[in-house]
Amino acid sequence: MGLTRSSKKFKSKNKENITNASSNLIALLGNPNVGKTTLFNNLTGLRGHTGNWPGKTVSNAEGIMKIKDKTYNVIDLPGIYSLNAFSEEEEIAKDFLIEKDIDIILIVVDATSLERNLNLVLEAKNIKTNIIVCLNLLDEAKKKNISIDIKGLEKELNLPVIGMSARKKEGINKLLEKIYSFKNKDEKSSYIVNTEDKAKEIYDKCVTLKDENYNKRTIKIDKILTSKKYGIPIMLLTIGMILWITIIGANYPSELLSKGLFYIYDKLFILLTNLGINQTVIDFLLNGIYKVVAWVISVMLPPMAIFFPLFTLMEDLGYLPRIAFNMDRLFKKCGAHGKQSLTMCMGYGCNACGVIGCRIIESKKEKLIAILTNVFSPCNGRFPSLIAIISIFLVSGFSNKFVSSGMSALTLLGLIVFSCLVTLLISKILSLTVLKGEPSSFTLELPPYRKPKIIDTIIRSILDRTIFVLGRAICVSMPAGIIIWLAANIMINDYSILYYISSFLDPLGNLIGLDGTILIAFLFGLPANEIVIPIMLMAYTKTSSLMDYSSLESLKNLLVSNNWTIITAIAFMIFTICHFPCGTTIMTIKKETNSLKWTILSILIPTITGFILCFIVTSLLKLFI
Amino acid sequence: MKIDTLDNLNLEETAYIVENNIKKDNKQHLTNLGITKNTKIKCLYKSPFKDPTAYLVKNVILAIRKEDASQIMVIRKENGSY
Repeated sequence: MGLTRSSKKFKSKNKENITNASSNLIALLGNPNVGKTTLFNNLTGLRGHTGNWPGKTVSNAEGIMKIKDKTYNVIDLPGIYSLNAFSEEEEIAKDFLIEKDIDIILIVVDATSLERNLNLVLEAKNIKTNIIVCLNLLDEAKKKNISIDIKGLEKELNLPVIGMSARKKEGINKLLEKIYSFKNKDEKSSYIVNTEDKAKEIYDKCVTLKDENYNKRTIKIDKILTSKKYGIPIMLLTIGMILWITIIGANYPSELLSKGLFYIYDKLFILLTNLGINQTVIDFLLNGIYKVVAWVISVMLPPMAIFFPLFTLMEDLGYLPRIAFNMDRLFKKCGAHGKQSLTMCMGYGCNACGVIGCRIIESKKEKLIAILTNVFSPCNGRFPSLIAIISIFLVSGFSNKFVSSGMSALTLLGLIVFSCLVTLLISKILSLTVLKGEPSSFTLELPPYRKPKIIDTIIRSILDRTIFVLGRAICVSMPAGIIIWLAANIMINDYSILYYISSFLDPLGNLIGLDGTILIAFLFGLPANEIVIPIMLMAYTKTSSLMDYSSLESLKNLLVSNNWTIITAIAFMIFTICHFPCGTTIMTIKKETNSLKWTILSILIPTITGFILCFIVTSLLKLFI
Repeated sequence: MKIDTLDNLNLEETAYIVENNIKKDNKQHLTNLGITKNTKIKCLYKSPFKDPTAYLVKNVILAIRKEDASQIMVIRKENGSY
């Protein structure tokens, strides 16, 4: 999987650093979700993505830290529970510990669940002795009335133990001093055969609970959020709110951004003309490349900048695993994992992010199902098209504005339900066919609720997710802009190439209730789904650059004059939900699965599904209408 | 001393794990997460659709599906004697 590859790549890259005699190598080891990445960021000043979710660090991060005159290379290994080399991550971590000449191993342990964490410490101690134990989350432990005898723990483990709260930057200085003055005792301690029993023994000796039920608050909240009565309604309301805020909130900044970018467009046009550059070249640069990229930025950036911080907030809070818990049964029936409900939610923001999000699913089969079906969740780039078509063809009959907006919201909801059903159906089919033999397992941890750091969250999610996806989208949209421009501008016998391709695709399009122009719009809309309607308009009006629609009324007239009916509209909406992923997502799938086979399947499966569904639905509708 | 399977545990009931009999890939996963012999386990709450169920193990809340829970043998605590 992607994770193995990036880890291995990093390993080889690291060799050069290790041979650098002046720097020391520090490896961070620990269970998932104990704050390794937070500590790593504290030590190196980097901003790795953290979240209240086990398994955030999937590929290793590497950073440099200086203490006085010494330089250290710090490596954040993926979170693992044990070193028995059961999963790929564990194998990587174990190999790394054995093969590399690591100067200090920092094992981060969670003070609130020490027993389980100690097992890993003991296992590591069986291999190496140069260990410092970082007893993290002491603040949380304190809140829960857990008292830990750190001195006793040091004695029992025969290892240095530093108490800290990495989130609050407490105990970091003590750790730095310890690292700086660290000398390996190098005495072989006796091999511990049964690490689990030993962990329990040490735990019982060193930890006293003043309050047995210290998870009380989390359990109390969970009993409401996962209850039969309120669990599902609260979940739907939360997701609905996030989507609603995103769609509504993105309108204004989107418009502003587009105005700004097209203002620059005008200035560039004047500048290039004044420089005396050939008109065709200017047209190519501005209408071909700049316009497409500007379009993608202005429609993509605002919704993502709203959606991802909100989503990350939910993540930091710890609510997301509860959604997976609530929905698991439904997904289990389809051979999938409850966590897929979360990757689907992320897909509503952006399918590329949804695909990356599939890393949280630890078993191969369920992860692949989630990746291959993510595209069925209509992303922010497709919502505007859906909303436009809904308001034109399905709810235009209502004169009352309130009724029509309510109707369009309901229709949109119906489409989301439809997309969920398709996802589940295809998941089921996949689990019974191509993915039948793949290993499958289910584990889901429900971490304690944590107060999110709001400012931090906003900065992080914008930097990590939004900018990342945007960067990739720009990389894809530039070459696509060039192709679209060439196809629309190269003329053969008075007709553009675009025209020839769309005429060629006409029969195929008609078969499924669409036409050749719509198909070509989807095809050329590969860089980003936002530009599907603009390309369609460009082809219908036979102009040579992307066109925005000034009003829904004019858009309707144009579509109707090109033989659009209600059936075309319905087929268009189905195909918008079920077709190949956008270029950015395809690139991401390739990266995450590291397999050409799954990448090709991820293109074919939704496309074939779209063709079949459109064909069936429009054939049926034609019988009645 | 009554040996039962984990999925038969009622809400709020506490028991001790006797054996993890899961035959699939999931066995090791659950062992790593704390499903080990002699460990105390408490049944907390069920998902709205009745499966999976959340358990408290080693102070961590863990969701386990019914099919897995039915292969984990537990022994109920009787009057505090075990």
